[in-house]
Amino acid sequence: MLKISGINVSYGSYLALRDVSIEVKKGEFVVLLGANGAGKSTLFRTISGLLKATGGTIEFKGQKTNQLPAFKMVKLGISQCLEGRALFPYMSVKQNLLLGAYVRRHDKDGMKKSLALVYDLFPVLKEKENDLAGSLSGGQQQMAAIGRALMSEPELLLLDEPSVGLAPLVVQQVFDAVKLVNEAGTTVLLAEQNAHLALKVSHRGYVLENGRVVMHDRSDVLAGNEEVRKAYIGVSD
Amino acid sequence: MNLLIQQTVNGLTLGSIYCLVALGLTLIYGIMEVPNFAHGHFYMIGGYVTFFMMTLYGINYWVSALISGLVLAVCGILLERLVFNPMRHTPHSNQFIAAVGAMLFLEASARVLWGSDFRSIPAIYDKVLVFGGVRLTEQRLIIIAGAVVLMVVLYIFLKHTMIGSTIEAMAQNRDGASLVGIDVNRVAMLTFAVASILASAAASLAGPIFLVYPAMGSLIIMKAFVIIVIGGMGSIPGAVLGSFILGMTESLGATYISSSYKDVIAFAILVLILSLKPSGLFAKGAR
Repeated sequence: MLKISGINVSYGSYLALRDVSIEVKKGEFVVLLGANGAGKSTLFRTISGLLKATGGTIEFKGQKTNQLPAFKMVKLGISQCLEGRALFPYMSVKQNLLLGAYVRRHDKDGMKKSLALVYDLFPVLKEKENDLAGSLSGGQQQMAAIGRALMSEPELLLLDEPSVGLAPLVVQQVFDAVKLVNEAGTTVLLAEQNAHLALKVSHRGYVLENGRVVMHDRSDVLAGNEEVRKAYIGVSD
Repeated sequence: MNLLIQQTVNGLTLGSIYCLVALGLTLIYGIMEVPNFAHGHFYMIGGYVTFFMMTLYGINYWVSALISGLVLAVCGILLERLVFNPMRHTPHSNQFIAAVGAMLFLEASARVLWGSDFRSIPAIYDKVLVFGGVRLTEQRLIIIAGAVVLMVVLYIFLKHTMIGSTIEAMAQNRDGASLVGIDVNRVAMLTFAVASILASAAASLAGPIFLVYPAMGSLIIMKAFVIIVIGGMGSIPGAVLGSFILGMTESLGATYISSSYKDVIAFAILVLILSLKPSGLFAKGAR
């Protein structure tokens, strides 16, 4: 479904991604592991069109998408949750969710259905639907951001570090929800530092270090790998 | 007492005009993060278009105002495309200078094309209504009513339509807006069009009472800028409140203190409010 071949991305003279190749197949749940600054967010921003690659190609459903602006990617079926959530803080939770369905705004019935699905997935959003998004707790904001991304009915959902700054119990809740979304048919690419949980729920994983892919394998194999355990899970585990 | 009521209505009239201009300025600030100093000059051009439609072509006042709104919407989109869009990746100071440049260009063009004379949009609603001892011209009431109607329409557009809410979405989080599939270029054009229509409406309403002349834009942009600073840059309720605070104090101050201090009062209010609330009445992050 998504095929990234040998892309380079730079900020000025600094090369943030070098020759990165990643493939995500339809229906898969793929995790991208990496420390801070490894290039996870850069890769995500490049896939969704917020940044432009200087070399290599990105193909989505067989179509080259390197040069498309971000808003067109949403129409093609890629929806992204940025790290930092990028909600509209002075709008209500419901308004945020409805704007998530902006690309299919003429399909009122479909919007209602998606809204019901999101409320099903995260009941707390229903309770807080009239609160300003900026007034929610970190976990609720993350749920709102994932909910908003789902409102466009994406085929591929990109999640950038949804666990950052959240209590472990909330992280578990968010991951369970994402797993449900994946099981319902949405392909998921997740960037995480929290390897322990991420490898439990995902099918395959890539490890990104200093802008390069250094390892990729099935998630259960990666979870058993000594280096991965040392770097991302902690040896005592 | 009658004088107080009379001056209150005058303050509301002034506040209504300020409000329509300041709302546009604050909307543009919201998406561009730079005050568009040329905005007051769109108010001026709006006044001229209405004036010429009525005097040269003999078109009805309301139809002229409508044509003026459409012409200004096109002007707004052109300004965004030709001046601000090519500069959107440059530092804010460049856009700032471009805005001042556009302002000087528009004022000079108006002087060359139409001369520096003061003109007045022909008043068709010049009857004086007497309530008790209070005398009001119809046009003043039309200004207030017109501004209220436009504010309600704007509110519904921004809060209750998907297209309108994209303006606020982009102001609140530009990346977030892109990621839900909003074309930020289209939103920028839309915002300039809406803001320019509001400015032209203000001029069409004000024209029969206040005059139309090339420098009218410079005067009102100073006021509108003070208003959005008082209200909190980018805040819509702040712009509305700030406009009426300024309109009322100018009107009452001119009556009860001295009319020669009218413009000083505006800036005294600015200093006072900013020393109490440095980020304005409705600063982002505190709303």
